[in-house]
Amino acid sequence: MTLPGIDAHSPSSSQQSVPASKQRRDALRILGLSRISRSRCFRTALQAPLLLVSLLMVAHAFGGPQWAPKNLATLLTWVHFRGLVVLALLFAGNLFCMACPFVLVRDLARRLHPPRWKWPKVLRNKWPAVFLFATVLFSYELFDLWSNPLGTGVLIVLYFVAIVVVDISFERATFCKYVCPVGQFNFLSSLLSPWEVAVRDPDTCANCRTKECILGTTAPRPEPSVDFQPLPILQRGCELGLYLPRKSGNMDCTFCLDCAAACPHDNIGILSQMPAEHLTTSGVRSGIGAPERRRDLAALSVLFCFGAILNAFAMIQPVYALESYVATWLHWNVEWPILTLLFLFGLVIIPAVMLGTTASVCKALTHSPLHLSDIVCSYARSLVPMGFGIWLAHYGFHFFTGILTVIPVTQAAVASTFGAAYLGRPAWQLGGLPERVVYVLELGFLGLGFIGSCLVVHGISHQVSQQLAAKMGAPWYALQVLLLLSAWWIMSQPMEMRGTFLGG
Amino acid sequence: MKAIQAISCFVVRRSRRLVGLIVVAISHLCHGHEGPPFPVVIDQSFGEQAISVWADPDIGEATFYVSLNDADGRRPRIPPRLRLWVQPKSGRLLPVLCEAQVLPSRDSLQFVFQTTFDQRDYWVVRIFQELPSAPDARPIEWSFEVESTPPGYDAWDLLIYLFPFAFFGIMWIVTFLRRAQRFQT
Amino acid sequence: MTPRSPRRKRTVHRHGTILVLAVAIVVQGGCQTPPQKPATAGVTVTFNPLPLSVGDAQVTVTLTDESQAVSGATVEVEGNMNHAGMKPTFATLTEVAPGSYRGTLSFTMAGDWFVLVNVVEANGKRWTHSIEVPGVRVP
Repeated sequence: MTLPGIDAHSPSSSQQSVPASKQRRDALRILGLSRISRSRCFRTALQAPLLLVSLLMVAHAFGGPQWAPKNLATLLTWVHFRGLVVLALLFAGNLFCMACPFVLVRDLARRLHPPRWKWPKVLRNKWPAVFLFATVLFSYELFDLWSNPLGTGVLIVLYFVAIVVVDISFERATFCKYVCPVGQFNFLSSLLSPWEVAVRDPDTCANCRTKECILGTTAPRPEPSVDFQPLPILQRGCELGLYLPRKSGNMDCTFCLDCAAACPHDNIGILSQMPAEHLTTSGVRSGIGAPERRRDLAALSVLFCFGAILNAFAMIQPVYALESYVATWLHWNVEWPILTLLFLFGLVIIPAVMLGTTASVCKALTHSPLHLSDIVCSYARSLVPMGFGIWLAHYGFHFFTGILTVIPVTQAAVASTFGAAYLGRPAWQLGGLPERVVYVLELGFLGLGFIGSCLVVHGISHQVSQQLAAKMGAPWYALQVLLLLSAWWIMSQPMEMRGTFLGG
Repeated sequence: MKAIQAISCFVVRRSRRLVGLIVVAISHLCHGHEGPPFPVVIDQSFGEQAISVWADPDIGEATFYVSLNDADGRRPRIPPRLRLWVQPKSGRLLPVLCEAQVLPSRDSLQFVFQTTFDQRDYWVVRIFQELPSAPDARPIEWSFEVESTPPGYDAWDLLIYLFPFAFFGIMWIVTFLRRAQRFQT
Repeated sequence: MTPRSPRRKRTVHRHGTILVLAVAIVVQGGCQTPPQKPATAGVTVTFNPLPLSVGDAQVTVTLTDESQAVSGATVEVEGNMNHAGMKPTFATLTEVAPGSYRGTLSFTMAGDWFVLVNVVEANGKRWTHSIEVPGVRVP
């Protein structure tokens, strides 16, 4: 999507790739993992510990104390897992999807029951994931999942059931690409990561005829061949449909490294990238299409950003005052309709008004013939860095203030399970960093998110028109300032670890 | 934007020095304890009991948590009297003896000592235990050293804390814009 | 799709069995919760001042068993926020009247709390009772 069609520079259909860097560092080579990452056991070795932790969490959710601060399911899910995921995304890449325990279970299930169908064409987009992402955010508030070990355990089990059901029914990585809300969160966030899975030498790919990176490798057909049965797949290629030579950025990439294992030329690594740069490029790319034309991706970006604001807003005092006011005003005494109203405003009406107004001003300033929705679609990507900054600040708050609480909770769990304090007496005095220190980190994350969003606005605007870039970008910069101020205000409020005020 | 670019270029030119500064700032932050209480010793034998000590030695109000268990891992039946003695290592102040606030938890006896550290310094801390069964006997003593750590941040501290973010933010802007410019030309 | 060999089937079944066993062991092991309040016991917890706000509050626990005051117990209260990842606060109460125990508990953050009353009766019987303390305010 190009904006007003004013500039001859603007590419429309061909992919506008990121400039090739002279020196892209390769994390696999730096860490000496190049060979081992191609082994089948590599990912399993990452997944197995997480699967074990997941099982422990599920067990503790159902059998352990039903007090969130003393239960490993709630503690690890809502404090440590979320914090580590966003920090890994910030400093490395999509490491959680790489070590996803759900996929390990799915792979085992697929051995018993191979999938037979293809995911329906009408659902081959991000709309199901947008809906599920919003549903998870809504459920989190409605069922107070942060304070609900049983609910958290049910959520983890549901996740396992969902991936198994979807992926033993439908071929390829259907759940990861089209369904998984955590995956979508990671895909968008990893656009801000410093590393991406990419080809080391494009020339090698230009001469490749076998395309194992996407097709996988199969056993050799016996000679003379008599049947036309599909050959056993020895190593699968990218199940998310990303053809590496035309892949751009981390969107839809689970860092599974199936492509690296399949590539016979050892030509795929985890290379350094400029964070947010792929958010500014336009044009068709493998497995994604043209992101600037995809409304589902735009909706996902908007949800990612405004969901972050709403999720953080739900932890401070004014939201309770607002809910009480609405409840009194409408004479409602159950929470779900009020929460629905809040989500409707927070995720639909307010974003629509803000983005619509910004796009209108942009259109007016540049006299663009484009429809407002096209302008919004083009610039929605610029919300991703700001959203990621807010998620980082929010999850970072919980993670850093409670980082050490896992020690006494684990000690207590071991003591109650085995009847002996093998890990020592629970050291309940261990907490985390003081709030005043974490507040500064929050400000830092918000600032980086703001910078990232402004850079994306700058990049998109300059791609469309060098001359009108400032005019086009101005309202979008203003929008980012508004989002920054909103997030800053929220983070500056005293955090209240509150449940719902009405219950149910 | 040009002004930002100019500032950013200047920053990048001076990046080696800045990296050095960051290292100093980070080491300062690591050196200065701003976090939760840290363990000084865990389950060390102390008379007939096992002692664990956590320190939160902030300048201003310094807190020490001491927990005692019997050899069988249970709470001592008869609480001993514990006292905490602190003095700067340099001896520039007279020693102070503190009494504890006793917090019996389910399986151990926890003592909380609060004292005042006036400035950043190395402090000698001694814990004395008097057994109720032998009040005239010489108390059992156990000692260690801690460094008092700065209190919360003022404006300068805030700048130091935010410096890494500002540095990486500026680096990001400069590199991003340079690459974008190269791409466009 | 990949045809399955008998060997692979066996491996899958072995993996599945190991997983099921692991879950069973973990669930069995994890099913140990603290002993709950006996049916005949009565616990009343009161705070002062009300409404509760961040800071110290006086907490009074009254224990009864079949309407008789429970004296000589060791009573410890533990304040927790209902969000995971927050450090608990503790207070040991002293008996101020037969069956009535008093102490000071610190509420370190606004929001919803729950208080665990850990009781060790004079006869050595231990039990825990949980009380919801919603809506601690910013002062």
